[in-house]
Amino acid sequence: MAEGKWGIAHIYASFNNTIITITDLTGAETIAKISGGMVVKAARDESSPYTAMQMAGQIAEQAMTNGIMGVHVRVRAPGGNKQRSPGPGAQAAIRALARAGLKIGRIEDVTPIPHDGTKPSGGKRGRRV
Amino acid sequence: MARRSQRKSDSRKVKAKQWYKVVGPDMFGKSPVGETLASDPAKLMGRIIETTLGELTNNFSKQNTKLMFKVDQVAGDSAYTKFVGHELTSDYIRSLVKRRTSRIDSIIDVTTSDGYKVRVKPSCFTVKRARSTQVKTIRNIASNIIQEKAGTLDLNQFIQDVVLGRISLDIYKDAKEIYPLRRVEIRKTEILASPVAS
Repeated sequence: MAEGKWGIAHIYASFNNTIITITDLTGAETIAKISGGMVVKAARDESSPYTAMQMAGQIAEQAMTNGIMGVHVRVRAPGGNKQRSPGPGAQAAIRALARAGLKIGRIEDVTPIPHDGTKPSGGKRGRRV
Repeated sequence: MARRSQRKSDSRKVKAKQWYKVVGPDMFGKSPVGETLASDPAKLMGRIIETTLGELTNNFSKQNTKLMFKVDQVAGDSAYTKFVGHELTSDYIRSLVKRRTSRIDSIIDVTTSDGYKVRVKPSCFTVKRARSTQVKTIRNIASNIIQEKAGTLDLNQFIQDVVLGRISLDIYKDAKEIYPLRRVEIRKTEILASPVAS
């Protein structure tokens, strides 16, 4: 393991928001957290890649003042009976974390996948727009 | 606006806390696995830290085995851990699963010679789709080998064998006579119970 302290960046990226939480390696202690709504005012922008970039910049700064040098990334989509692939903010956030000077360790997808879950919303004939 | 208040409170809280070194269990050479933060050493108990086998052994090809260690003892500024289970990363498993082939999963509960109850989950991947009788036989073989191994080895050796792939190699050798196999992996282990101290 390299010198300095590592943390875990939990990135939850849905289509409506992005939430980044940086914790220690056990995941029990939160070091810094941020969500889309803390950066932009309009609800529709909370999940945008640009917002995610700004969020990542801010949270990286906070984490580094607390002695974190690098992070392992755990990306997560809503999962369950909702979509399994992370929203638009995930990729932008990871890239911006790296740009902000944090080292990126391993990146893992931790989307909860049901072994057979409940019925998805939308009814028998699906969502009709 | 929300941004300002958030920033202050978080950084102030962190300063009152102390960093503790987390040390891996005996069976992985008591190497340091990371650091954790706490205001009180008692709060460290029961925390679970995850590393990969690749990081512990400096072997890049073992990057997709995750090991879970649980803190069970704190002394000074270091926290000592015990092994609680291992798992392969989900993307690695997904890369092994292919269409028109069989994936033979099984779940086996065994007791090691020193009394630990361990749940082992092996997966075999065949070259082509196997018939259900073949699937059943392969599952039996896997179960027998794991039972037999666990009966003769103690937890330490057993986990080493599982994690370093010796058990899956044994299963592969025996089961490929039933049906051609692509890969055998021990997907997951969980320690269910440790022996009661007598």
